[in-house]
Amino acid sequence: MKSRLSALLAIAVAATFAHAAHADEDTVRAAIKKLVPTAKVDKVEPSPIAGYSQAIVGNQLVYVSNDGRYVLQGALYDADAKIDLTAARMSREHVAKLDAYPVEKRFVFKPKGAVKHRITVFTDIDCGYCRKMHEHVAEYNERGIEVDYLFFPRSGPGTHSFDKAISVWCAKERNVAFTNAKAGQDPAPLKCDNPILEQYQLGMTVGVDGTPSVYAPDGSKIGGYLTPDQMQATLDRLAAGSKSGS
Amino acid sequence: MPRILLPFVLLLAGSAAWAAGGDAARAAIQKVAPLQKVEAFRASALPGYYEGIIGGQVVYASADGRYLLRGQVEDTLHDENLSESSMAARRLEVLAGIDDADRLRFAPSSPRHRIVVFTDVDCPYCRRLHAQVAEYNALGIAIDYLFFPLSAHPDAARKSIDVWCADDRAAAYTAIMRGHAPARRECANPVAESLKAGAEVGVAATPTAIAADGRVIASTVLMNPQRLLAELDRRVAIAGVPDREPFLPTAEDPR
Repeated sequence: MKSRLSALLAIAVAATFAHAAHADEDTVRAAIKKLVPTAKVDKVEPSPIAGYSQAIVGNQLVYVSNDGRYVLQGALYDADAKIDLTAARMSREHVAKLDAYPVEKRFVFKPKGAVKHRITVFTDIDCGYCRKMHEHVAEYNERGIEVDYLFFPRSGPGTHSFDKAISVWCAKERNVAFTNAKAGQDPAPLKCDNPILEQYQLGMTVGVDGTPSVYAPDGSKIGGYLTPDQMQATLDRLAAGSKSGS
Repeated sequence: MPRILLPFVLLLAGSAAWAAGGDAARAAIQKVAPLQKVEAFRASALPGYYEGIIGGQVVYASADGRYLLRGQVEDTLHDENLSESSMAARRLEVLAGIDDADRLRFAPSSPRHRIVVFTDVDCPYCRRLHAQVAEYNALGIAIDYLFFPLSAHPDAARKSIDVWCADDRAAAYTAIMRGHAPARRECANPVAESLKAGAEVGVAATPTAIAADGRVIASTVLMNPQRLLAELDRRVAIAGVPDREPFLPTAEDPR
């Protein structure tokens, strides 16, 4: 009896130790490299789940068991708190990058009065829902929402759509040219130093997968096209949530 | 309490949570899609987790039901995608429930291989695939078609039923894949059943081909009869090694 108990104890102690073991960053990196040899691991840190680390690999968050054996890719949820932990973590990563993008390189459509919310919108001149969104830009502004546009011409660099975005940037009255282009009037072809490629690349790093892509002040992607009322409701809800400190 | 007993107590508490955890984990997985059934629920190969299939994908839940993972789990030690293995097992289970009489079969006299193809009569790649059906058959590959009319093709479901109910079903299928619509027909048919089966195993596009090991065949391989034969031969060779599990990783290097 006594020996059986001590055997159990030995297992228990071993299990406790294994659980407490800290992740060796190299082990985590090696596991990811084994799976995707070309992967560039940006960061390794503890994860919310016991026994796992999380690694930021470009646009993605992956979870790796501390012994390096299991790699989990996808969305991890806290089912009790109803939080998408993966998206929440990536939002924090994105917000830093979006906030760092200088205001003078954005197409800013500002409310006349106080700014309650600021959204960053990746947009494309030749996209139906982007145009629809811009038709309502005054209404977003009336609701205290500042709309900061960055270009993400889906067709990519070296295409007509991309060149139009550059022409808009180079126009004397940038915001007027922007609005006209959205209304279907092609801008006069212009070239100058411009941040369009930079904006496009920023879009790639924060996970833009279509246009418009709308980012809230906390870095979370909230759309897609949203009507002014939907936009306001979503932003108010997010702001309330972040004040309650979750 | 003597300090030495503490780990022992922790161990007991841990295993109690595990034993009772099945219910909590199942309930957590159910939250992903409240109206669908959690299928293939079991203790996962991922230690400390349970898994179930819902909405055509594997979902993992911690024993206490707090954490849910929707995505892919890779076992790097064995080069095995555990999620894909679970889906393969489930696909075989679901396909086993579909009678031969409910399939549209194009088979040579003594096939070496049999694949199941979810097909849509209005899908160009399905048409291209069927244009080569004689070649597949000549190589010893039998094709069992199951109708999977995509919602993007509003007439496909009705046309599938027309084909199924035709006097010569195989001829009607070949004709429609060449652009000749069959006459309108009505009869008892398995279209709804195969559509449901496809959704359950994660079919999202057509053609989706499933091999005898339950794994989906890459479309570039599928569309090339010679490459398909080589791939199916390879899978049989791996599966034939006695100390291996029946559902093997798609990775090129064996365990």
